[in-house]
Amino acid sequence: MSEAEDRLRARVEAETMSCIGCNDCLLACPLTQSKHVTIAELNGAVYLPTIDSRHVADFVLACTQCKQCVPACPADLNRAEMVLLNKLKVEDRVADFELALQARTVTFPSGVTLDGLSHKLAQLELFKGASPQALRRMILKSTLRMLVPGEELCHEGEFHERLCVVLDGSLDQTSRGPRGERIQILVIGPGSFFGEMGVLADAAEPFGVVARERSIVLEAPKVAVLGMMELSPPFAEALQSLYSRRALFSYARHPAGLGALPEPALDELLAGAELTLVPTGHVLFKVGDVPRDFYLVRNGFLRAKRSDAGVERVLTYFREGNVFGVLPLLHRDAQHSYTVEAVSRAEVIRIPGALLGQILQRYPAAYGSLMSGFDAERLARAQDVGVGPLNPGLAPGPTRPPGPTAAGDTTRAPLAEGVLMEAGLAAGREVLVVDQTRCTGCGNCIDACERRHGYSRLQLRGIQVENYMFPTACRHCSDPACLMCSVNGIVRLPSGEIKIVDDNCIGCGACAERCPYGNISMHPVEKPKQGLFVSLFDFLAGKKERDAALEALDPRVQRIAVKCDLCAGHHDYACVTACPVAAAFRVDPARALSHAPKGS
Amino acid sequence: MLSRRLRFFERQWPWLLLAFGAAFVTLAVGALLDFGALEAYELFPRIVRGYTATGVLLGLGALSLAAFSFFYALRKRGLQEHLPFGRATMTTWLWAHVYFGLLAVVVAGVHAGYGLLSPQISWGKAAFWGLFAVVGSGLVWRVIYAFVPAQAAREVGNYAANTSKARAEAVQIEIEKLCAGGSPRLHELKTWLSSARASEQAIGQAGYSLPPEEQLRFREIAGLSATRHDLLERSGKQARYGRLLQGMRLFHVPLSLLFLLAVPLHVFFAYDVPARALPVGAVSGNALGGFEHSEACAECHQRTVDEWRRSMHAHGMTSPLMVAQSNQVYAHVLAQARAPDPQRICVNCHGPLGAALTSDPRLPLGGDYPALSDDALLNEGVSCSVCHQWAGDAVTGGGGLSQFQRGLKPGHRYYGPIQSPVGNAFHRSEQSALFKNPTELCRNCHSVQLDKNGDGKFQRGPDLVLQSLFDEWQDYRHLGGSATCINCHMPLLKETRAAEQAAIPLEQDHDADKRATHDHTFVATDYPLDDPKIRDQTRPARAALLKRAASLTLVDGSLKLTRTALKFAVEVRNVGSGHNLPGGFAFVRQMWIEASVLDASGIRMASSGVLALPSDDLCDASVLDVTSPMRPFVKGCDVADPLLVNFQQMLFDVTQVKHDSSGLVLTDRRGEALLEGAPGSHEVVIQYLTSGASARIRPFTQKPTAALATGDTADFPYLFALPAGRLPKALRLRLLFRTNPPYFVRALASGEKAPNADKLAGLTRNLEVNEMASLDVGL
Repeated sequence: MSEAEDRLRARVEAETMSCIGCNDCLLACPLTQSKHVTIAELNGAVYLPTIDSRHVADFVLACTQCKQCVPACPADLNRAEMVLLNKLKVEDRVADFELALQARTVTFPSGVTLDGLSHKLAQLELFKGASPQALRRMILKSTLRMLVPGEELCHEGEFHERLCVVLDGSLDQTSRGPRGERIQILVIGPGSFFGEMGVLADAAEPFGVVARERSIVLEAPKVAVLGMMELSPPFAEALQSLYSRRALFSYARHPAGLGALPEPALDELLAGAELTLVPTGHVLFKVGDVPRDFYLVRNGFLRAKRSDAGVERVLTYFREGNVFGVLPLLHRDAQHSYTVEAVSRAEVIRIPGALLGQILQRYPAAYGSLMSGFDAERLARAQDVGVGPLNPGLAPGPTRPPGPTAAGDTTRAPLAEGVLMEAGLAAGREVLVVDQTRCTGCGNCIDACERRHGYSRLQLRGIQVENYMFPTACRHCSDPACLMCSVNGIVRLPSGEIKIVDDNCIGCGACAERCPYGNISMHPVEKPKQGLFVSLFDFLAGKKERDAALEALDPRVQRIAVKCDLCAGHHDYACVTACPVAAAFRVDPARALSHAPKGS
Repeated sequence: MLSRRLRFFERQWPWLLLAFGAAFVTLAVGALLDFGALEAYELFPRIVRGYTATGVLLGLGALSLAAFSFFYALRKRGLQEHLPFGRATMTTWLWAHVYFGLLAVVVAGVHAGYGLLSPQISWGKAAFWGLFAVVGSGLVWRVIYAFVPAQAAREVGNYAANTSKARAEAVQIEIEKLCAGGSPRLHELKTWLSSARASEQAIGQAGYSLPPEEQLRFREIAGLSATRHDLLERSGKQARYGRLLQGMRLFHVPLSLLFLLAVPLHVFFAYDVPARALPVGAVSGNALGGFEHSEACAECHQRTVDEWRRSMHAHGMTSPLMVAQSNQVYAHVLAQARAPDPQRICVNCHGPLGAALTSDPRLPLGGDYPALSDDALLNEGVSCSVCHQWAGDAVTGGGGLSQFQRGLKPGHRYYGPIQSPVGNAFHRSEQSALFKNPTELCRNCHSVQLDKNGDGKFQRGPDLVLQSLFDEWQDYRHLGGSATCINCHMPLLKETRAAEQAAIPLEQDHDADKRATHDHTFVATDYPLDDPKIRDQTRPARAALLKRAASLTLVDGSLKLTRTALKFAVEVRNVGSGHNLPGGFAFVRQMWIEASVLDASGIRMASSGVLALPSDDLCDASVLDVTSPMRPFVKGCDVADPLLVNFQQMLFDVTQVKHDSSGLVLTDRRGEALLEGAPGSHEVVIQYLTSGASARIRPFTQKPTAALATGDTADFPYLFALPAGRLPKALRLRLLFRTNPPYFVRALASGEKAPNADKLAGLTRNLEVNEMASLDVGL
């Protein structure tokens, strides 16, 4: 058992002793299996070496760690951890068996056993340090896939939340050329892995993958990978490290970034770089700090701001591909003249400034190239820059257009971009926008949504920027916080759409709570409509009374998460199609705002 | 900055171009039709109205466009998700909705053409103006859509009034929280601030009334109150903008529903569906709009209808004589006959429309359902519709049979002789072959015959033959006569407009070519006995017609004067009539010779056929015979006049074929058998199915005085005994005519109940005697 599991056990045992046995946590649980167990049974299972009770085993396996039980506990205990510990016990008790191999839509025996595969995986560099139990648990949630030559495992730009490990055969990693042609990047052989971008960064696949020959791949879903990362720190470190190296490689070579540097210089620079995840609101550096490092934005948005006569003013925003913190180093400034903080969750590549200095000494010719770039940071350093006070006009209502500045518009960052970033809208990929100069308030969009989905997932209220309203509809964020669902009740489709899988959703509401924009709502599940005869038979059989009795026993109405899924399965967006005045449309703000300075 | 890239059909201009192009083409077609540019083609008459082939096509086009436009509303609701076709965005559909709607109005306008101008109310106009109002309200709505959102966006941003209100409520809660535990004065000021906006100055002053520790809180409350007022104000504006933008729905949608209701009704009535779908007379007493009153026709054809009103056609069902005779015939004869033929043989011709719409032939006609019965229409006689809405197969004498009614075509299609009729607001005019030879129309009723034995022939004796006018006219034609019924009875008029009262272009599309119009008085010998005014009005025309019908001459060498006697012979010739004299029901037409021998001072010395009053009876021996049932009704005469030449035929209740002494059947010039009263039969005033007309026997010659066939001549010898001592100086001969024998009227009246009997008998006062020919001979 790993140290993390030991720590988990210690915490759980301590909390178990504090439990007052009120059972409120199980009353709050949305799972139907919770009706068949008590908190006493679960507490007792913590001290048992194995769990033999079928009800307890069923419940802990069904638990999604939605944590609905946590706020219900009057003793302020995290009973979700207790269930997790019990769940690990149940999973560890699974006997060895021959795994199934999936080839397209059929499965057959693979000849590989659970334990055999876990031992095999443990030999790989990626999984060094991971316990066999952790690997067994991950394999239990994974799929063994067999690919035939030429079979595509994924396309470039698709979203897949799984880690693929090549067990046998070889695959081509490909990229699309300017004319759509497939360009081979490298060959992935046994023991190699890919898909870490989707798991760790919720990012789209940077490359396509095609089988060169008959190959066998293990597909570990994101939840399983993250679970193992939590309980196997060495695996987490190994994955993070490999991921960082690959991310650095792909982004720093971008011609609009540091691509001006010679290849050897770039390699040297990246050798000292590290990928850093920056949470929302985290400050990377502030005014007055000594310039030490510079940063390349991999994804997310950051704002540069400065306090001016007591009023904080946003100078500009940094987005994917922007480099900042480099000009103070090149100009040898004594201190930073602005503060940089994350507007949304962002990933940045931090490169030590000292390394840059060394490289420039060896490659002085690169100095000129670097000095002429970085427009985004140049804008932040301009004296007359200013796009208005922080948090301008986020409340619903008209936003006053920016007034002219003394220097005119040439150095003024676009207000709308800033507002979209501040509101988190820029993180969206398919944001619904309603142009209020066209909208007539007819409500067709809402009606169309309701007609198509049963419930309207759209309300004509929300953030308004200038004449654009961003109604409460899913933005299909590039870093969706809602996707942390252990039962795959909410998933991202390869196309990037966030979709609720009705059949999987257990109505826990965790995704709704996590959505920072309140765009997921919980609705009672409607009873399926039935025909006249069925209703008549039910009536004669007294089903109504039985249902009423059951409802009296458990008055909770089963709920389901409802959100915009971009009309998945349909050829159009119902709301956009239904708008008679072309006021509603979907945009990718990042693309729509592409006129803003970028790639500096 | 953020915008939606519109697809091709999401833009306005393709639809605008399409709609205006189509509208131009449609208007051009309408103009070409109206100017008669396509008149050479039969399919494209110079009529811009809905009933032409082009009109129907345009109507269907307008309907299709409107339906397509309406489809938007369906797509907007449930169909959007389920339709397998037309999966365009609603932006595209809205433009299609707008411009197809506009185009529908244009196409519907050309479809209706001049029909839109007439002041009459119709479902077609309701449908058009309904569509116009729908499209008008839709345009206004679209204009509101074009301009208001931008203004609203500037002023209120969006239309989430409830959100603003909810935020105002949240602010109010914050205010309440701040006030919690505060002084009564603070609560008082809070209420004051909540009720209305206060100026900064007033707030400042009010703040001083609070304890110092509450002043800061009060400033905060004042700020929140201002925010709350802003939010409430915004909420109100948002709601108002919402109402402004969607308010037109209150007009547009109900108007659309009205249009949807009006269209099927328009089609329903335009195609005369009730009249076409239901057999004529299905609803007893009512034509269900399939036939019009003559009053309706008079709106445009006033002169013609006035003429018709003076005609006996207009009195076919209301003449007191007709009513009495028809009802008595029905009561005594036809009630026991087979129905419908010959039970309704009288009313079938006297009022074909009424007969077709009712089941009870007793006059005045009435429907089985009094509430639905249109009695005025039923009793109009031979009205406009009888000829102009009839397109059956003409059969001599067929009018008396029910088969004639099958030719009646209810609806708004009127037949006539005009080849290129002009469109009008009331009916569709169509040329009919029947009017090329209009005698075809007359033959239906102006021969009263019944093929009793069903051998397909009409023969006196075995069959009922009461009148054979059309056959007589055909004889006339065979003899070389060229005149038709129309020449004598519907002479040409100087008027050149058929619808002289129709206002152009409200009722008649445009001025027509000069038309040949005919007199619809149907001038003949008859006049309504109960209307002396019409009698006097029509007298000149009747007199003229009678004057040219016959000639009266003295037979050469026949005049012989002695001291005691005057002997001569008179020749009467049918010279100007295309049928027998007297024609028609010859048993009620009195044509006789008045002969007077005058002395030097003009005092009548001897005479025959002289009446003291027009209401006096002729001293006909057959009537004054003691065995005649007519004798009690004779007035002004006690002794028979043996010299009297009276062409009036005798109507017998039972007749038989006349034979000569050798047993051969006696025939007239046409080869038709002559009839005589059967043994025991009598002269009657109502027709029996065994009836027939027979010539009266002149006592002086003991020869029958038969009706004169066209071109025929008859000689009548006279011998007057002269009083002694007085010398005759002149002989005056006149051929006279009277439509009804007074005794006949009185006899008919006797069959009626009081006071109708007296009233009917009193009509003899209105009888007049017309002179057909005269001759003065000096002695």
